[in-house]
Amino acid sequence: MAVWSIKIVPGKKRGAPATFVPQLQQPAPDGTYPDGLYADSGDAVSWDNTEGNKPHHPVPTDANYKPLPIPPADELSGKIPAGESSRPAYVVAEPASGNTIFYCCALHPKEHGKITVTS
Amino acid sequence: MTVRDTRLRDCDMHPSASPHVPEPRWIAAACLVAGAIALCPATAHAQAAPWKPQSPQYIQCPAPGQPLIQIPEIIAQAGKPAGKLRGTILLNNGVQRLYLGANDPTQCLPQDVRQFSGWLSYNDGSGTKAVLPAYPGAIPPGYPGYVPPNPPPPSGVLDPVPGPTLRARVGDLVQLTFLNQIGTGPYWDSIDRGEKGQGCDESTGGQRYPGLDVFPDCFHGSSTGNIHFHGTHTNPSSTGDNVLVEVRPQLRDKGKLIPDPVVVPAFEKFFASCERQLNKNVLSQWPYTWNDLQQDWVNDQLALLKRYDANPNIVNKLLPIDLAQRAAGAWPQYYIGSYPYCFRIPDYAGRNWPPGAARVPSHVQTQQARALQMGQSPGTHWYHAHKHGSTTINVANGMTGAFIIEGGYDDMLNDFYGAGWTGPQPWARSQPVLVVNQLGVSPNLFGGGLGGGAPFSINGRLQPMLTMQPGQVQLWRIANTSSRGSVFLTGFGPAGSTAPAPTQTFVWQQIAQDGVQFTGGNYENSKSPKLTISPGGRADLLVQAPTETGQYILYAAQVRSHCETLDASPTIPTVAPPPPQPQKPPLPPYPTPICAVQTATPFLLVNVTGTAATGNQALFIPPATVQAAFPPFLADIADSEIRGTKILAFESAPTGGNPGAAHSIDGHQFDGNVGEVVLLNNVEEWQVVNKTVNGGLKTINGNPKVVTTDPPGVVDHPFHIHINPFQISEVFDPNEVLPGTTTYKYIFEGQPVTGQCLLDITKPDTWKPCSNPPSTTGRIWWDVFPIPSARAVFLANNTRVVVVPGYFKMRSRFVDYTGQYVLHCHILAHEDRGMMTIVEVVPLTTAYSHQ
Repeated sequence: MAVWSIKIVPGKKRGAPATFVPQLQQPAPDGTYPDGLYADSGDAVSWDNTEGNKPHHPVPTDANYKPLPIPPADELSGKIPAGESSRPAYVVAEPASGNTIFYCCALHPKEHGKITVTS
Repeated sequence: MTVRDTRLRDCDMHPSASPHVPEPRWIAAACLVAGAIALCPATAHAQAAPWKPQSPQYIQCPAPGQPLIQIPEIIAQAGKPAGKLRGTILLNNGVQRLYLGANDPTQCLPQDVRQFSGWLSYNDGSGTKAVLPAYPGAIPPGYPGYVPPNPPPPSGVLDPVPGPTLRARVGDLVQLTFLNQIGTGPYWDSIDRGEKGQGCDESTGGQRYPGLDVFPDCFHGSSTGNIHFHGTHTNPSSTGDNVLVEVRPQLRDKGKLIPDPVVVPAFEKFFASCERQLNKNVLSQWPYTWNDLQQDWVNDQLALLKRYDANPNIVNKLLPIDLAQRAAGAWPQYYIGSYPYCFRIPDYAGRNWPPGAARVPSHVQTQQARALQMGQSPGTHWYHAHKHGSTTINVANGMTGAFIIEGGYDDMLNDFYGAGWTGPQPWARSQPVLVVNQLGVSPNLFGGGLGGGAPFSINGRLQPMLTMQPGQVQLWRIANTSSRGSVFLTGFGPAGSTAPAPTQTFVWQQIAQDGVQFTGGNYENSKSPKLTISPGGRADLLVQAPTETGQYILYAAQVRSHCETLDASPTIPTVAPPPPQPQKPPLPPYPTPICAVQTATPFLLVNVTGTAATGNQALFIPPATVQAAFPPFLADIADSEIRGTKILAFESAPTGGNPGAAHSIDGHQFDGNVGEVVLLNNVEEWQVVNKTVNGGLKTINGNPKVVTTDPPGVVDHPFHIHINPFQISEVFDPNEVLPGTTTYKYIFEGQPVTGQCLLDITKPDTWKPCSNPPSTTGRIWWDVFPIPSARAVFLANNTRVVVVPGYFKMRSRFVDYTGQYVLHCHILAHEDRGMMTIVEVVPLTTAYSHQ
């Protein structure tokens, strides 16, 4: 298994939503991560909150980024205090359908990201 | 499945890099096998088609057969009255290319790992790096002349290299600056949560962690560091080989390190004081309290701890703990960013043993006039991170390195073999150091994982290639720094082979075990053995290449028990045996599941080339010469010396939950309390027992059925104790079989056949070896020894089961140094999760006089 980190980076403009930036993986030519983080099933993922004064809380959503009920096995993280990283580590599981895990911040619903499960 | 294209291919990032095309002759030879997956087809395929990542996060692994990496060295400088090993071990994090068990072994991943690097001075950005060693090989990254392996890693990614090799001589002082500059962000919050009132690392998923694990016996705090100098006989306290200190990372502000200008000048002064103090008395354990430290640094630490504790998320503050420990006369435990290691590697200068009384200056109030009893054995030792709760992950990340302590052993070899490969340096220094590890990023409890464990790397590379001259004898210093697996060396085969050749063309003799040289007799009797090196263990081998040039493969299997080293044929049953026939009871010994035999895979490649070696470099050093150099303080421990006995029981017991096993010693998991007490300079014999058993009876539909209980499975816990080596006086392996068969040697009912022993199942005191006791003279010294697994003995037509533990007896001289240190299982996940205890060696004398 591998261990991956997703940085929660403040928006470029004041009031803009934070973005989720996968670490150690290359962006698309336009500098974005259209498929989010790539991870195999069983990999561990954490979110690293680099915002100095805002907590964040990634929660699973449907493909339209509407939060889903969270059974314990599907939990992504607890609330992440400013400047800290997530807890617990999220162990990537195959989604019930498709190969993408969608998520948003429960505290800032406009902030969303995804994990593409590769095997 | 949406998968991006090959944007991540290293060739895209390095336009100048050529695609990897292995030399044809290596395609067959370099069949890296991971688990049951042979790599040859993938490697061969690489010739025909460009390499593709199996998914976009993957990058291409270096091909097998890369030259062995030269590990940079920090070398002691000679001096009077003692030499000094001075330098800096820097702990930080970086991105490395790791093979993590993908189905295709050409598929690696970039991973952020904690790593050691070495400096000859304080690393303030202008320091001098550790120097390259004398033995030939590939230059590591960061050094002039570095040539990346084929294919090179992507930009910003490096290939693993072990921590710097430390090289000193018996009698030297060690003065190492340890800096922890880990950035804690990427590690899934495996930072130190104990003080945040939470404790263990946590994970989601079906196998949620910590589950049944309880702090502190769980994985946690992987950004904290310290160093254990494994194999040293020295001061276990204060700034010596003290694994109870915990050094948190240097503080940061907005991600940037906050400079600490106090460290360099304070450590300079401290090391000067330490040198003066330790030169007064070879047995000095100075410093004793924080009052002995440089006070600028103490005040600096107090301020840093206060600042650390000021974080509102910190529930359990560290500074009050340190202050309470200081007030109680104990050595404070917690530090921020830096720590000085200063201790002596004692030289036993006497020609005889036991020594006479020594004159000790009268001002040394805490010590009676006594003499050094043992001294440090010169040999291949090592060092590694040893913070309880994160030893596994830190070691798997590569926080290990060799510690070569030279002495009469090296003088002996240099005298015989003369100058080395590449110049006039002593022969022993021109010989390869082989640091074996199972590199990875997870203790394997978060899900996925490699099952049997990561493949062995050597000096950071999988199946590197070492070069020898035809007929040449080399000294291979092998340190198994793996967190889990024993290395079972099974022999050499030619290029293109898939297994060791029936007839070996290489010849090798073991000359030292765990950094302690063999007697001449043991050396002579160790010709070309199949050899198991426990995790934490070391073996020095003199290896002679065949006279024919060519390429060869050394094979090794990864094992956790002796029974896994047995010949694969005939097959040992690993599933339930046939049910008993009522009218025809099975004859004992009834076959029971013990373990799966492991298949050896390529471990090290050897290219025999050039001109044939001549003279002594084509000879094995004579046993008589080895015997003549055997240190007197390694005299066998006689029966008459033993003053105490103890019994310790290691057990991995099924929990019925998650994790599947709990690891304990004498029924206790590590709690920081003392488990064993020994008087200084006493000699004791301990029976070290393994109650871990793989097998049991379960009633299914009214019928008893053999089931396995894996985990934990059959596991010979590798017992390790710090500070003092030991000798083995008795071994009882209830899983032992008659040579070449799967017939148990020990039976508990029925009639024994030739070679079998009948033991009384009702009398545990009869459960002991019945033949072949270890020799009473010339016993080998160890610091890691596997405790034979227990066996589930099935009786009365499998309606009854009795667990018969395995054990060994060891003898040790608890000499020269008082203090608290640890013993533990060297399967480090077991240690992190509780299979460790503290042994305290207490002084013979008190401060009182009676005039």
